[in-house]
Amino acid sequence: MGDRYLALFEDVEHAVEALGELRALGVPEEDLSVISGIPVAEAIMGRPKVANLMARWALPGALLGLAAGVFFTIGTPLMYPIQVGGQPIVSLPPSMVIIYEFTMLGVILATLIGLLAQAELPRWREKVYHPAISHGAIGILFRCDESCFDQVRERLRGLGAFELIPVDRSES
Amino acid sequence: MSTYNQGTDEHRWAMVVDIDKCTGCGACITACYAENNIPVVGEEEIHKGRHMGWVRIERYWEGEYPNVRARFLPIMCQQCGQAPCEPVCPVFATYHSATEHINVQVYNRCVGTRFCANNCPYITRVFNWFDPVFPEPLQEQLNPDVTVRSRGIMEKCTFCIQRIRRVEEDAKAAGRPIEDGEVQPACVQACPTEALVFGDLNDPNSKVARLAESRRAFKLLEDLGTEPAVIYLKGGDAHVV
Amino acid sequence: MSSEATMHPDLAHVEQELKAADLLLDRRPREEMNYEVMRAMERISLTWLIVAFFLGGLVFLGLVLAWGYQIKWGLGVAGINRPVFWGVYIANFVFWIGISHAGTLISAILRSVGAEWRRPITRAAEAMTVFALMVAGMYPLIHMGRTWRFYWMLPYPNQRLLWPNFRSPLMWDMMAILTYLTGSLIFLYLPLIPDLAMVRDHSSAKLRKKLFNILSLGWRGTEAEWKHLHVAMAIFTFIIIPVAASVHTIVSWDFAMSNVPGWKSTIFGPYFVVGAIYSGVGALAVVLVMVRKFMGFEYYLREQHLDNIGKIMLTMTFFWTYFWFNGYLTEWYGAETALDFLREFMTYTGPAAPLFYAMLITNIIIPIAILWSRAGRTTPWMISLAGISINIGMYLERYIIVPVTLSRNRFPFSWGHYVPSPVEILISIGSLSMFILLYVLLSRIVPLISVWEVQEGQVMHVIRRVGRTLVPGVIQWHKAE
Repeated sequence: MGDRYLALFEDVEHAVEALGELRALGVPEEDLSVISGIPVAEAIMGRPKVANLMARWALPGALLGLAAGVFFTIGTPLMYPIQVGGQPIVSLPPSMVIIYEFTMLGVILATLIGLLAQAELPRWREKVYHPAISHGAIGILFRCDESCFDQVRERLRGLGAFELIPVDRSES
Repeated sequence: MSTYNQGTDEHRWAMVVDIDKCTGCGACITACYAENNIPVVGEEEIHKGRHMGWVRIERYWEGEYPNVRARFLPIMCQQCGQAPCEPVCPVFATYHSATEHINVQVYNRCVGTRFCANNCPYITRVFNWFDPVFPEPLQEQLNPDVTVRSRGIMEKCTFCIQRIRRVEEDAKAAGRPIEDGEVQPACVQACPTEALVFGDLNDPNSKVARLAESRRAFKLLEDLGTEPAVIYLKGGDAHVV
Repeated sequence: MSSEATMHPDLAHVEQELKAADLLLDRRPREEMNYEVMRAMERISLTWLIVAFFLGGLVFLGLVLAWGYQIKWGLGVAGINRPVFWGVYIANFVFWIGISHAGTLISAILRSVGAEWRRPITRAAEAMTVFALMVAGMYPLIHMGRTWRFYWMLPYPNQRLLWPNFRSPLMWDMMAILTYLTGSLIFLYLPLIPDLAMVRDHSSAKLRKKLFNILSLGWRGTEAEWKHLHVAMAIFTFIIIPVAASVHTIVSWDFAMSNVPGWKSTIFGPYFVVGAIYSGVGALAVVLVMVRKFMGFEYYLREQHLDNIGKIMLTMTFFWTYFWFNGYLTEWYGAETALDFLREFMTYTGPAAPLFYAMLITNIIIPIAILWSRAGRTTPWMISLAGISINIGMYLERYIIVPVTLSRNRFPFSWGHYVPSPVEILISIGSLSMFILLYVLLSRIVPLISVWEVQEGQVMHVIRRVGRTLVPGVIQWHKAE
């Protein structure tokens, strides 16, 4: 346990070094995280890969859309058969269009929901942040107790951390 | 199948148009206007191509002067067995009636996309460009059996379905079959030369069924496979049946 | 590798040239770019206000007054008649759907093949799609006889137990546009989120800050956020391409599924898709030139972008010409009587022939004459001229397909003639104004340049010494495993 701090760096290399320092001081990986203004691959930062399970969202979305398409093109004419143009009440080729569009709509909506759920957005109340990040700075968010922080402060400053802010002291 | 429809599902209502007999007098058009509450739109609108008549008589010239002859071709909704207008409607406002075997138009379901009208190869559908106007005292002669349509919807020849229904009901009440010639759409009734004949094609003894067998019989744009229920008779100058 | 001592004296000059040629090599601090893009966004000048009010007035005139008048009195106030049941409303509909194909589709294709130069143009392109779709989506409503009953086309359970007819190409159309609009909106929004957060961070206006905090969903840029955004964008990129292709194919099926001579054609699907991309890219070039000029984005939108867009345009010119000729020749050879009537009407010396020849000139000759040379592609006014010419030509093409084709049919007695009425013209002007107005408004609400994507590109691009000169290179950050 301990308090959370946010250290800001100008560039990737120093941030990577800082992560190494923190690890050396015994800060476990799960107490570290990176916030950046552009995407920086986990491998570059030497961080564990973020698991992405988008397929688990997109696939059910596709199936749901497919089911909706089948219901509309095959189900509804069976519920209330109306004969048009001498065509059969149910036929696959003309149904494909609607089935296709609904499947795609399903994937689109499910991907959006999958993104929001996995990235835990929206998070309007989150305060662990610094505006310099969207100016391109790399932020390292870490958790350590007071004795640890005394050791780490100077080293991070030495690595070029231009901001070192205690974020909160109450969170468990 | 409901009791109401019992016995009627065997009908295939059809019309025969003998263009050898047609004089182009236009009585059918007038009768149709009166029977079906069709608004009169005036010269200016007609010039724009917005006449509302459900029947039109196309006039073509045959031969070279002086041996020239006018041909009259009355065209109304062909009541196709496989109607191109039906599948394109997004709201099922037009569909194939399984009991009368004609192509029906549900006025109050229509939203006015006009796709059906484009897709009708016979150009027989008309659109209500404005609200209909029946100046005093014309509203007194409106047919109470037929809806007065509002602006923004399609309409077309119905084979005077209100008359078909009335005969069906009368016959059912009296417990007898419908006789050939009992159903007469307004245009058929008004035709002075009996160029128009209406009846049940499924009854082999009906007049239309016999006329349909004629060597002179043909259908409009038969190659499109629309299976029209209007049969034309044309034999040049040879007046044979 | 040669040492510094043997460096060619001209190398500084080479570096300069490389930077001038490619935005991604011409690195600038993110902070500077942020503020530049935000300043362009927050500046509301008198000219801007006058333009916005003028456009708003035209929108009011066309879409409130003229459309209201038409709803009040009926479609008779338009020029359509029998047999020309579809007029400029449908031509406009096809036209705007076409414009919508530049943005999302082009952006998705460029993203999927990893075309790095796309970075500053994707936002401006995607916004075009959304607005063009909104305008296009209005036209079926304007076109309908009973606009107030439009919801009868929606599939919802009702007391009559009646569902819409999913066999109708119009239903396909509605569903395809709905899917495409949803997809395009999200496709525009996702890469916008980090830039919305940027505005939230650095905007001085309190209200804007609050609004952008909500809009950016509280985005911070954590590892998980970036990762999932990246994957979601990858999925969208590959989903939106077939969806976009399906949309204009289905628009073509509104015609091709019919019985009308001149419409019933098997090539209409791909022909329409090609035409849509063609007119869309043309419009995109015009929009980019405007954005560059009026927002002062000369740094972001450079010759390289106009050059590349011009090349795509030129390719599409050939594609369109090929598809058009393919369709025309098969119909010519088929010698169907109704099509002969139509050809007599719209080519040779027929009444609609001027439209036909104008289409060929604006769609083929002018674009090729301008775009074959680099100077033509990279001179803003010239590429705009090509883009405008293409859009005039493509509009004529849609006009020929809709009302001109309907003027002729199998019954010479029922031939017709169509002239657009003042109401139709006012509504068309109103919808064009609506598109421009939405764009003008958007330019003051969100950053039109995707700053984070530009920075990401700049970080990945380097200039390296090889032998006796400097060459550009890419370090593929996003591929780090």
